[in-house]
Amino acid sequence: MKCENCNKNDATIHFTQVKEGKVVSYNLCQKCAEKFGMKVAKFDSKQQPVFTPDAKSEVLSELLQGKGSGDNDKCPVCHSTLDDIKANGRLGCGQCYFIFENQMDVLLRRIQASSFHVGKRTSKLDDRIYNDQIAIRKLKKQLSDAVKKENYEKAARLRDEIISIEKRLEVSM
Amino acid sequence: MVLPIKDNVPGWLGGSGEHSDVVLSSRIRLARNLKGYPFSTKIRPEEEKQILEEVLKVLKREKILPSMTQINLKGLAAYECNYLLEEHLISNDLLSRRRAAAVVVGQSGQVSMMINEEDHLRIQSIFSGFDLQSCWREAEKLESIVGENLEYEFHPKFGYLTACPTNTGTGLRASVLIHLPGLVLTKEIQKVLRGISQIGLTFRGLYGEGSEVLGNFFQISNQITIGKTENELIEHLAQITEQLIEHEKNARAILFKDAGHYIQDKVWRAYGILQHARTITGEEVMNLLSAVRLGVSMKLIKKLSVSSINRMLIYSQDAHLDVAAGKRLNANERDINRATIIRSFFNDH
Repeated sequence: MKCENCNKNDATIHFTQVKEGKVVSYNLCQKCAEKFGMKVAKFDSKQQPVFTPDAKSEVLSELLQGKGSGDNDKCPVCHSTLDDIKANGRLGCGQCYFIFENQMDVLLRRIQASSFHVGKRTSKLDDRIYNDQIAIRKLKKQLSDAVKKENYEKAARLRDEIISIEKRLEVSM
Repeated sequence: MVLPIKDNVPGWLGGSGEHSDVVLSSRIRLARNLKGYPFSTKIRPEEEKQILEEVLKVLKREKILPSMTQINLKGLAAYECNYLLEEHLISNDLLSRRRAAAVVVGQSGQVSMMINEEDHLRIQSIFSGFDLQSCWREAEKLESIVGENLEYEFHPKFGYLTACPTNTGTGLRASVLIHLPGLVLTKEIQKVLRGISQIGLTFRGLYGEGSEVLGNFFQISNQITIGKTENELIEHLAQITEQLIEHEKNARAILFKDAGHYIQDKVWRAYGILQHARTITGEEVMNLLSAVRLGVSMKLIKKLSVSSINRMLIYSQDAHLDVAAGKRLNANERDINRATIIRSFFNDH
C-alpha cells in the first residue's frame, strides 16, 4: 500500500484512532507521518521517538466522509442521521447499524479490514446463519481458485451452491 | 463513603501465573449493549437507571451479586473513583458518566463488569501473569449468564453492536501488561513496537488509551475486533506476546553479559533512592521500580519478590495515597507520603 499523502513511498504506519469523537485511519510512510508532526511517545529521552496509536494530528481526518451523506435517512429509533454519527464517531443505537447498513459495511471494512463477524453468536438461529456464512466464505475461495485454474465447470457448480445458500440466508435474516 | 474494596489486594498484582517476571497481567474485556435501549450517545438518565436496575436484578437472580461487590460511582469522591481506575476496575470513560454508572467486582477483582460505560456493559477479567485463556473463560462465563437473561444488540453480519465501530463484532479487547526494560535498554523497542502496529496490534501505557509509557510498562492489545473469532484474536495476541517475552529475555541476557556492571549499577542506584528518598513523584517511582523489578527478576535482588514490586507500583499511585490518607492530598503531600510508604516497604524487606 502506498502512503496516502505522498503516494510515493510504501505506507509503513497504519493505525486507527478515535479523535474528538471521530474515527480516523491513517496509512502513511514514515517520512510523511513525521512531517505531519504526529505526537510521539518518549519512554526514554535518549531514544528516538516511536509513533503512538494515540497520535494527535490534523491529517486525513476525512474518514466517514463517504459521498457526503446527502440522504436524509434517519434512524426511526434514536433519530440519528448519518451526519450525527459522523459528528459523534458513535452510533446512536443498535438500529442505526441496520438503517445505515451499507455505510457501516464500508466503514467497518475500512477501519477493521472486515465487516463479517465470525465469533460468538447470540442464539441457535444465529448459529445456523453463522455456519452458512462460513460455508459461503469457503465456497467463494474455492470458486476463485477454480476460476484461476480455468476449471469453469467446477466454478459454475460452486456458484450455484453459493447462490442457493445465499437465498436460504436471505430468508432467515 | 468508604470504598468497599479498599483492603482487597487485586489478584492481578499477585505475581503468579506464567512468565510473571515479564508479563504483569493479562486482561480481556467484552463490550455489550442491551436491546431496547439507545447507546450512550443518545441515552436518557431514566434509561440508564433502568439498565442498572435490570442488570442488578439479573445478577441477584443468578446469585452472582452477593459474591461480587457492587459500587455505584455516584456516591464516591473523585479520588475514590481514581482509586478504582488505578486498580484497573473502571475506565476513564465510566468516570465521565458518573450519573448512573456502576461497577460490580468479583473476588480479588478477577472479573468485573462496568455498567453504563460507553457501551451498556463492559465485562472484564484480569489475571496475574500471562494467562489470556483464564481471562476469556471468566469474562465469557459472566457474559453468557447475563446474555441468557437479557438480550444483547446483535446484527447477523456485524455481530455484537457497540457504540463505536472500532469495537463492533466480538466486542473483544485482549491485552497484556508487559515489562520490557531489556528491549528499551538495548534500543530494540522501537523496532518491536513498529512491528506490532503493523500486525493489527497496538500499544499503550499502563493506564490505557492516551496514557504515557512509564517505567517500561507497555499494554499490548488487539486493534481489530471483527472478522476473526475470539479465539483467533486471543491466540494472535498470545503468539506475539510469547515472541516478545523471548525477545525481552534474550535482551536481558545480553545486557547482563555485555554490560553487567552498568545494569547492576542502575538497579542498585534505583534501590538506594527508593530506600532513602523523602519526597518522590509518581513518575520517578515508576521508573525506579521498573529498574528494581528488573533486578528482582534477574535475581540480583533476592529479598524482594516480583509481586511485592507490582503492589508498590499501584500503591504508590496518587489516588491510592489519597485513599490511604482518607482525603484528597495536594501534590507535595502526595510526594512525601509516597516516599514514606516506599521507604517503609524497602526497609521492612
